Amino acid sequence: MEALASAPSPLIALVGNPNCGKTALFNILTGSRQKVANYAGVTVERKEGSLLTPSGLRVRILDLPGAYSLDPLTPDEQVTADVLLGRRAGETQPDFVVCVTDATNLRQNLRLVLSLKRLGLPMLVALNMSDIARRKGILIDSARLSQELGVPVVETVGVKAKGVRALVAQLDALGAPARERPLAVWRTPSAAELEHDQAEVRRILGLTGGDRLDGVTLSDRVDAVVLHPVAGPLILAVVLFLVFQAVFAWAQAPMDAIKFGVTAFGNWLGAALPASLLKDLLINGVLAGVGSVLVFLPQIIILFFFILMLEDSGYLPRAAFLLDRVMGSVGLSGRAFIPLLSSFACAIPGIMATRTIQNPRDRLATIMIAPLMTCSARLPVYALIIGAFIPQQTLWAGLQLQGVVLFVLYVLGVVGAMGVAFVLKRKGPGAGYQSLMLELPAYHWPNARGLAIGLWQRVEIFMSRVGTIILALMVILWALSSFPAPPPGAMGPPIQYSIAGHIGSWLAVLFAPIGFNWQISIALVPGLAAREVAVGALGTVYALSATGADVSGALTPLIAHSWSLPTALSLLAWYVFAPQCLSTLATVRRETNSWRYPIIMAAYLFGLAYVGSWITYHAALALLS
Amino acid sequence: MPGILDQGLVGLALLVSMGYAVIRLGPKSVRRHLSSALGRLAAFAPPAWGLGRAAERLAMGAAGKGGGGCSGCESCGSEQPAAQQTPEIRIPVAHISRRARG
Repeated sequence: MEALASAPSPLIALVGNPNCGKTALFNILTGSRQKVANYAGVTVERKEGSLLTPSGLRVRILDLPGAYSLDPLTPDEQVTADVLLGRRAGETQPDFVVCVTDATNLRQNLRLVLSLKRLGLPMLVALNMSDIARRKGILIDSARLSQELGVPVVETVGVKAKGVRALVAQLDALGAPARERPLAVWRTPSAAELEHDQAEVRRILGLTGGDRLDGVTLSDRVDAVVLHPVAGPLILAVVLFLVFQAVFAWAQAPMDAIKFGVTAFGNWLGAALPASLLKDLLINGVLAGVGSVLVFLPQIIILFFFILMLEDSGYLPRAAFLLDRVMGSVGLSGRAFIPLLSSFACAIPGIMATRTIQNPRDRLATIMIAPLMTCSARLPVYALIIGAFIPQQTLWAGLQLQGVVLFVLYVLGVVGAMGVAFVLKRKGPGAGYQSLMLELPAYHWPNARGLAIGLWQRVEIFMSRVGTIILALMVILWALSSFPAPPPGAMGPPIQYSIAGHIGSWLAVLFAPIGFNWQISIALVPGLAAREVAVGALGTVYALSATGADVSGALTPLIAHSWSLPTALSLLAWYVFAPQCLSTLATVRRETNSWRYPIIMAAYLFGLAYVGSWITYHAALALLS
Repeated sequence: MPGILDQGLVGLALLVSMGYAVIRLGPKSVRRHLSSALGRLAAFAPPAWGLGRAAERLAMGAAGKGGGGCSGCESCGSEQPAAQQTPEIRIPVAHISRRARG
């Protein structure tokens, strides 16, 4: 066994059509927790993991983006083709290919199997989702299929680990890879070859029983309502509206509990520690800053609960279909919907997901507008200001005003994005509408385990950000806000005489026309690292601006007292459009291979945010005067 | 609390925070130099301090990037270990969607 473990590891590639369950299988084989969802285009980059087989063979496994053929049309398909053909820099060609197929849709999947066979790499076929196929009455004779294809066939159920043992046994038999092997070469098939493949697929399906065409399925019946031209958009609007209602309605009790915990801990710390710099750092720096962000964890969990449910159920591609007309009116295709929706979690995966967009202008326009979708890091900022300025009032049929305002802010981001896309797509060559073609997966109930893992990952990510970069920035901000000490006889709060106070007063000159005071101006700077840091920064700055009282965990009443409503609305408008965090700009640079686009993006977002805030501030002043 | 201890602890917290912020947010070259220097420092620490793993992670950080499949906002739920990071994809926008030949 030791000899096997030290032998060179075979490299195995999981290849298949989009949304056939490659990543679910990869997660089970390697113990990874890569993102899985019920729509095409979730995986846009190669992922690697390893597996130790029962005989002690270490196998490297690659999860590749879904592809319909080895002639790539989109950047994600390009990744798959490059890896399989050994064209990727610094990577050898895989020693073995596991072609994952969707057993419920073999007619389409077998075309890729035949292409891969032509490539000449050793291969096996994983007949995935075989349980769903059986439930649908599609009984595939896998032994016959294996015989016809001339490769081993294993039945699997990716989400349930079923059949994985048989797959691992096949991988176990591989042994160490051959040292020298000629590179597999791909030649784009001619029309005659494609026709031959199609005929071959029909022949094999006829022999193996995989050619059963479904009648009207449950998914079709649901789609008749959900995709209805009138009912469909209404249902979509109601679903999204309810999500934002729930974010406020359900989160109140756990938020209050966290607030209570933070305040109680602050009081205990205040009583336990003697007066010292360290005490000031812990209470006014760490606790005031980090505690202010921590209270928004329940809202983030609720938002992601709904996003994950929608992803897993198969509703998202339907939403893309419904919004194709709206997207088309600004020159984008419905295919941009899923990257844009991913951007509600974070702009970075959204921007990476644009690799599934075929048209380069569409892709670039989607990248440029993705930051206008309200990422989850903006939620704490919105929730703080809404909590402070919008009364907890029930409007009608249990609708909460705060939830309505949050919904409007999300809509404003979308409207802004559509406006920018309209301008981008109308300018320059290549403008025009691209028709949408996408696969609609069958609906299924979200997997409870997958949902729990997804939510746990969000908690981990949020807590790790709070405990690392937010904590570090709060410590730095506390130091900048505490030193130098005020001169003897100074009357104002010490922070006014500190480095941060001076920076804030300089920035306030720039931001005064849009109603921002020096405290807000300071908070905007660390907010460039991550949006929610702005909330922590406000917590620290206001804690240090206060004279004597312990304010940890009480930022909401403080800002409600010290800001005017126009200032609060102006800050909300700022965060609808505000320039993106540095990580997003770096991702745009990488995805476009140019500094030009991140610079343009930062400049236009700053301009848009400034103009939006100015209009909001002055309109609110005029209305309230 | 003695003044020297108080100031020492605060100074240390500030130093660590600044180092971390530079590693996470600073320019790539500065990030790599700092990670590599800290990694070497951690590698020299006595084994009892348990800094072996931190040294490894810093060395990996110096060689490439940590975090997810991006610049590290970690918001995408990607869990790819740094050692298995994919080389950056460099596909100029204008070349996307051209069908591969041959």
